[in-house]
Amino acid sequence: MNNLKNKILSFLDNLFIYKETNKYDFFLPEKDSEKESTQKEEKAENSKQTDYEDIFPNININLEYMQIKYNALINSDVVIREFNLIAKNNEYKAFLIYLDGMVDSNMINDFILKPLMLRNRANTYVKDNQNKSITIVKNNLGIKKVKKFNLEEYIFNSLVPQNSIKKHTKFKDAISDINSGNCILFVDTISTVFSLEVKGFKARSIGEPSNEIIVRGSQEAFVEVIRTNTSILRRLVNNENLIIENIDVGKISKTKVAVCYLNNIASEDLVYEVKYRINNLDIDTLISSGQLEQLIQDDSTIFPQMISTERPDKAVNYLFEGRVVIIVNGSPYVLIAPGVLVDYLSSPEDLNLKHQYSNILKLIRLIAYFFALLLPGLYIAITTYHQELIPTELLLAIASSRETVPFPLLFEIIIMELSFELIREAGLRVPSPIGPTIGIVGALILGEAAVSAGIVSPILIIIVAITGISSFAIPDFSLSFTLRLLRFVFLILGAVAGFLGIALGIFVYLCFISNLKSFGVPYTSPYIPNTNFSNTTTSFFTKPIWKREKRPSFLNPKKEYEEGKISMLWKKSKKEE
Amino acid sequence: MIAKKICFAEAIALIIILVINRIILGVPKSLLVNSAFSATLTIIFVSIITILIILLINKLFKKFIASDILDISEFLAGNYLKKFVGILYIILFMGISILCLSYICDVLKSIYFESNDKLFLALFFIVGIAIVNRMGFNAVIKSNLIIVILTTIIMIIMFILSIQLFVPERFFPLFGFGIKENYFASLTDVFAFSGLAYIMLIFPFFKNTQDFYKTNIISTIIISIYLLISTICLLLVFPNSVISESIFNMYVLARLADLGEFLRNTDCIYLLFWILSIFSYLSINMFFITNIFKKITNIKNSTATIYSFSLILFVSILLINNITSYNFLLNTVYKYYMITVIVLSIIILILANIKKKKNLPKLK
Repeated sequence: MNNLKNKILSFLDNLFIYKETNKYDFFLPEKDSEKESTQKEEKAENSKQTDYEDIFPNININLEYMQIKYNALINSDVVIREFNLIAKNNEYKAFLIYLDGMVDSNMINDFILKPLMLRNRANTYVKDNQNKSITIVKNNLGIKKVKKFNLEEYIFNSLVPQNSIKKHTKFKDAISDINSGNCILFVDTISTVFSLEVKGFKARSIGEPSNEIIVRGSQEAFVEVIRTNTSILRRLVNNENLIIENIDVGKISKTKVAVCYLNNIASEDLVYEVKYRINNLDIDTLISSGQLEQLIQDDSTIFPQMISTERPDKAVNYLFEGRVVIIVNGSPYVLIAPGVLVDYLSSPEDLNLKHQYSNILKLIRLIAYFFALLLPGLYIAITTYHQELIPTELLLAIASSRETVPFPLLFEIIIMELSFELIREAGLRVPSPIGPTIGIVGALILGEAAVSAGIVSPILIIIVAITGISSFAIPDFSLSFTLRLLRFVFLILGAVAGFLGIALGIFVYLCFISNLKSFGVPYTSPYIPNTNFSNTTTSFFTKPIWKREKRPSFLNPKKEYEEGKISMLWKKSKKEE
Repeated sequence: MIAKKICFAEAIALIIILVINRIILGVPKSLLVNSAFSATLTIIFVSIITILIILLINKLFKKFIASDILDISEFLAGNYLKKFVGILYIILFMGISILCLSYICDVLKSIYFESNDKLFLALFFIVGIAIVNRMGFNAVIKSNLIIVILTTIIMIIMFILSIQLFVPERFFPLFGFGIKENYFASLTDVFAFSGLAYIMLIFPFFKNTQDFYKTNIISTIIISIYLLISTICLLLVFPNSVISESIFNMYVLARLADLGEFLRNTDCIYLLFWILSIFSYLSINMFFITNIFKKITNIKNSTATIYSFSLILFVSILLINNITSYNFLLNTVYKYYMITVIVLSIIILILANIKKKKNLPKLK
């Protein structure tokens, strides 16, 4: 009895007594002033000025420089192996640098480290006539010249049994080779490095994307192994500014989560926020990226707030925009933060097509979006309350088709919608060879039978089918789910109060998405709030590729411009000629 | 605080939604009844006067950056004046919300929901307002921008479609019924620009304070264009007698404007978007009501305030029984009340400026 009394009192307390809400609210500051952007770019340029060109003979300087260049302290896949190289029985300090996941470890062990480190005939052999002095007689004077031992040539010719080896004297060449999967050997006292081809990443055999299929473009998908996924990103980004930070999540599972971003593009606030949220999770286990998504999203709503993809090319495109990619070990889907509404209506195919084609496809998807959300609700509202909108002939056709149906319209639609959801769910759950058959059997036979039996009207079958097909046209699976759920709400609102109910639904829906944020970025960006969306990569209707000059300002990127004012320089030079 | 800042476009949309609703609810009608086709001249005349008032308000606000009329009242005469002005504004917004809600419920009841009770229809609006205001100011303002864009597109389509219904003879009498009726009697039509009342309160919400001055001018110009186009459309389509007798002129216009042979009665599509704009308008009003109330009482719990005012709004619509009482309240009581509040606000602004000027040498 006391328990019940306490419960009632606590309920009344919650209802009437004000408690200060402690809502977590993060805003990503927007780049709004030109001045600020130029200052940032200047800062970035200044930091670039410390770039060295030539390789130093002092290995410590080289080592320090490479560590800074690759952010070796935080970059989880950058490996720097320091060791002592033996040549002619002398020991020289040396180090190897490579990207884990992109090289073949066995090749490094057997054909680089073994011959260089272990004492063997090749590296301990000292010729008798080595350092032999040569006497040159010139003007009756004998000059004694000592022929120096050339370490660079010696390593190149005798110590590294590799078929593909290149020598570089510039840092930029060495860095470029590291990014493409080579291993670079730095040796003390010489200002040349050796680029050894030990590429070992998995290429085409990785597997095709099963849920995000496109016609033109990469046919490669992420896999369950985190290192393979990071190597795919490394290979596609091919730049030393890509940072891959590892964080262990889960007290028991200690699941590896990689936070990937481009150091010179992504906003620091965004990166810190992502890392802060992942680092502050008090959970025992983490199995998939879907779980992580729910744990780090801004609000617990039915709307997707992070993009989930199995396509490396899509992830890389977003990385170049200044977003953060999160990879969870054991999950073939990576998360991209932040995600705005426009992203969920875009397909990776859009970037490969000419902008006219992709814009038409996007328009079709937008129509599909509204159909998937509103069509059944509008149908019930119009046929129940606003019949005058329907032309008389069509109205008569609808009325005659419903003549034999004994159920009210709302009940009829709910039956059909539920049947459709059942068929869809069954098609997903049954083994793949039977799946499509279930769909066809369900849709054709069940629909036909329902009409013949007079349970539903034929016109309703068309409405439900269009709604279903529209929901399939939404590129993002999570958004499609959201629309499927909300469709039922609009259905009921339409049935209760026609367009008044639908308007209430639309109004609350609009307010809801306007209020939503993904990692501090408004969900309706770049349109509301009205940030600079002209000539950017993220806008609903894309411009030609040569006009997508800017990165989206709502991401507050360090580098504003993605391409030059005139990106097709060849056209300009032709005109000048 | 950052969460409550609005940008330029959102601020313009906030002012425009007010006038869109006034147009839908029949402001052009009250302008037309007095002055026939010269109503267009009247609108231009009233617009010029309003722009002059706006320029004056801009000038008076220059010394009170990011302050609203309540802060300025407090500066002028302390807490009592602040509370008095606050209550005046709450009554103003509550009054127009009650009128608007009652009117749209009556119209919906007579068009589509004859068997339903007016309260049942009002419940939908109240639920929407309460939910959305709980989400916060950001949600209301951002969604309002989307709704304004959609409604503007729909209204432009309607105006274009109504061109086919224009009767050129209705241009006459070109200059209306005389100078007195056209200009002196129409001075009170400044109330059509009800955005003036909101201008007194929105300054603290601007991201960039300079946008405030621009917003005031630009939104007034847009409102003038809106009023002008809607008035011309109504004038050229309907005879004056029909306009004065019809309840929901814009709806009748929408009913007449066809979308070809196949879609003849598209009025409910317009109505859908108008209902959306009314939702937005009432939500903005509710935000201002609760915001003023919080300011004058120092209440922290906005949720309880929203529910309380929503409930008052819901019950109050019972006070207006028919369209006649609605017309009386809108065209007589509310019209003059609004003008009084705005004039009083301008007087407070002028006095506060004088006080500030006098205080400056002391500070030096």
